Amino acid sequence: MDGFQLRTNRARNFAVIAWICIIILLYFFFTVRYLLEYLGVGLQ
Amino acid sequence: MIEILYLAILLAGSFGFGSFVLSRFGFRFYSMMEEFFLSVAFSYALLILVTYWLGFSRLLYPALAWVMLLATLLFGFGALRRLFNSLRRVKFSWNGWLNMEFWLFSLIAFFTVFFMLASLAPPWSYDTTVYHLAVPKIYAMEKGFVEIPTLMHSQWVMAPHMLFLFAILLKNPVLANLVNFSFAILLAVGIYAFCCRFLDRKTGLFAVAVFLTLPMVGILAVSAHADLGLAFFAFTAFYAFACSLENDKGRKMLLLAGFFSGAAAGSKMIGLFFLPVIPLIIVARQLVSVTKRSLQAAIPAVLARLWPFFLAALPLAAVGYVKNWVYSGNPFYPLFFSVFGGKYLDAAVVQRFTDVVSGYGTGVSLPSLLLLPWNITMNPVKFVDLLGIGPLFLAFVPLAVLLPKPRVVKLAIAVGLLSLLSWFFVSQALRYALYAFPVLSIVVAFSIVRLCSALPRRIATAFLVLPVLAFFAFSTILLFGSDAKQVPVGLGLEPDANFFAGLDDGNIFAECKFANENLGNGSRLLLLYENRGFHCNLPYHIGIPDDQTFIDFASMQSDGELAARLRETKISHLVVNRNSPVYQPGKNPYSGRIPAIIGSFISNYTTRLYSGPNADIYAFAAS
Repeated sequence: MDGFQLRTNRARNFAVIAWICIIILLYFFFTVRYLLEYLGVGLQ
Repeated sequence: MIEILYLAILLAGSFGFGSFVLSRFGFRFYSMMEEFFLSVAFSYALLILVTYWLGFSRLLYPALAWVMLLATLLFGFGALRRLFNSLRRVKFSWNGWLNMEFWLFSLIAFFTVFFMLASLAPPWSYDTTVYHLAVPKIYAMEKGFVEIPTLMHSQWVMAPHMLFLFAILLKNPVLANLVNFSFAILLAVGIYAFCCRFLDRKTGLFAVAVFLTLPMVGILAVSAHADLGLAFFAFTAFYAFACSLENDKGRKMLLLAGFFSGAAAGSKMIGLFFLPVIPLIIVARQLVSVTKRSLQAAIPAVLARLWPFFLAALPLAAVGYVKNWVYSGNPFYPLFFSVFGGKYLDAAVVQRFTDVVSGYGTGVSLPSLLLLPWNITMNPVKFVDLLGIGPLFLAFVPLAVLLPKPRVVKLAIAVGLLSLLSWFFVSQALRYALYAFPVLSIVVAFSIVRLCSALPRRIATAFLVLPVLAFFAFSTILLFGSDAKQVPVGLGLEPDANFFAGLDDGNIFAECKFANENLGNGSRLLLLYENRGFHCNLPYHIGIPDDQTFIDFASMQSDGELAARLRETKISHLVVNRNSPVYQPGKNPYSGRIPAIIGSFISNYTTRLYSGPNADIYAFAAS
C-alpha cells in the first residue's frame, strides 16, 4: 500500500496539518529557548 | 571583491572544459542547467586529481595554475558560447506579488548574494584557520606537499582542500572561501536542475529554498570547510545515478556516479561510508526483482554494474589516502593505529582523539536511533551544532514516505536515509551529516508541493505554506545573526584588524601580524595552547600536548628537556595564547606537570617581545 488519498478523508487532512504545525511550533519553542540561553537571557 | 571575478572565470573554465570532455564521451544532458552542474562537478573532480599530482611533484606554482585555467577556457570556448546564448534566451515573466515562485526566487537570490558577500571576509572561523585553509596555504608556500608533524589534520583526506589550494595559487585564501561558497550555489543549481528533470519547477524552487535555509548551510557556506564539498560530490553522485536509471544507456552515467562517489570518499573520511550507498541500492533493486531461480543470473548482472562503478571511484577515493600513507604511514590517520601505526602518534593521543569523535551525539543504541529525527531537529546542541537543520525534515520527510510518489523520490528517500544511517554509526557531529540533506531537501519539497495540491487551497495556505514561510523568515534572521558581521570586512568597509579584534574567540590575528612584520625570515614559531596558525606567514609548529608526539610533552620531566627539544626543532619564538577557547591550562589534560614545565620553561629560557590582545610572543635563545 503506497500512499493515502488526502481529499477523501477529513480526519487525515487534520492529522497531516496538525503534525506539520506542531513540529514547526515545537522547533520554534526549543530553538528560541536555546538561543535566549545562549545569548545569556535566562528563562526561569 | 575582485575574487568574485576570479570565481566567475574558474566556473566558466570548469564548465567549458567539463562540457567539452563529457560531450566527447557521448554524454547528453536534459537541460543547460544540468550540463552546467555536472560539467563543473566533473572539472572540479579532475582538478582535485591534478592538484594532488602537482602537490606530489612539488609543482604548485601560480603560473602553472593560470596556464591550466586558460587552457580550460580555450577548450571550453564552444560550450561557453552555447551557455551565453541560452542565458540570453532566459525570460522572466511577472505574475504579481502574490506569486509563490517569485518569493521563493527572491529568497534564493537573497541567500546567494548574502553568502557571497559573507564569503569575502578573511578566513576567521576556528577549523578553517586550524587546517581547512592553513594546510593548503602551507602547501602553496612550500610549492608542494610537506610533512606537517604537529598538525594531525594535515594527514586527513583533502579533496575539497585541493580546490582551495588551487584557489590560493590563483589568487588568495578569500578565493578559496568563494570556492567553498560555489559548492553551495552549485548544489542549488543541481537540486533545481534535478527537480526540473524528474519532478517540476515549483518543487525545484522549494527544494533549493529548503536547502539554502538550512541554518547549518548558512554557517558552512561562508567559510571554507570540507562538509559542503562532501555534500556537493555526494549529490552529484546521486544525480548521475538517478539519470543512469532512466534508460538502457545509463551505464555512462553510472560511471560518472562512481567517479563522484570517489570524490565524496576523498573529501572527508566519513565520505567513505557514502561510497557503498549507491552500490547497496543497485543490489537491493536487483534483489527485489529477482526470483530464486534467476538469482544465479542476477549476480553477474549486479557485478557487471558494480565493478565499473568502483573502478571509476578508485582514483579520487584512493589518492587522498595514498597521500596520508606516504606522509604518515597510516592512510586513515590517526584511526586504526593498532593496524597501521602512524608517525607522531601514541596510544594515548589516539585514545583522546577517538574519545572526542565518538563523544558527539546520543550513542548508537536502538532508542537513540529511533529518537534521532527528533533529537537532531529539536536538540542539535547534543550533536555539537548550534543551529541545526530546522523543522522541515522532521515535518515533511515522514509524510513523503506515506504519500504516493514517483520512483525518483523513493530513490532520494533511500539515499538520504542510508546516508544519515551511515553517519549515525560513525560520528554524530551534525555538520558531518550535511551530505544527506540536499537529497532530503528534494523529498521535503516534493511533500510540500504534493500536499499543497492535495489539500483544500485555504487550508494549505494557512496551515502549510505560512508555517514553512515563517521558518524561512526565522532562518533568515538566524543567518543574519551568524554571518552579518562578515559582510563589512568582506566589502572592505572595515579593516581586517578591527574585524578580528571584535571576534570573541581568542584569535591570534594581531600576534601573527606582529610576527610576520617584525621577526626575521629565519624564525620558526611554536604556537602554545593554540593551533590556528593560518595567519602566520612564518614556519610554525603547534604545541598542543595531546595532539602529537613530535614535541612529546608527556615524556618530559623538566623545562631543560623541553628547551633541548625546541632547539632540535629549530624553534626561535613562542606564541602563547592566554585566551584560547579550547586549550586552557589548568583544565585536563593541561593540568599538573605539563603546564608547570611550560611555565618554568617560559620564565627560564625566554624573553617577552610582545603582548597582544590574546597571546604573548616570546623569543627563545636557542644557544
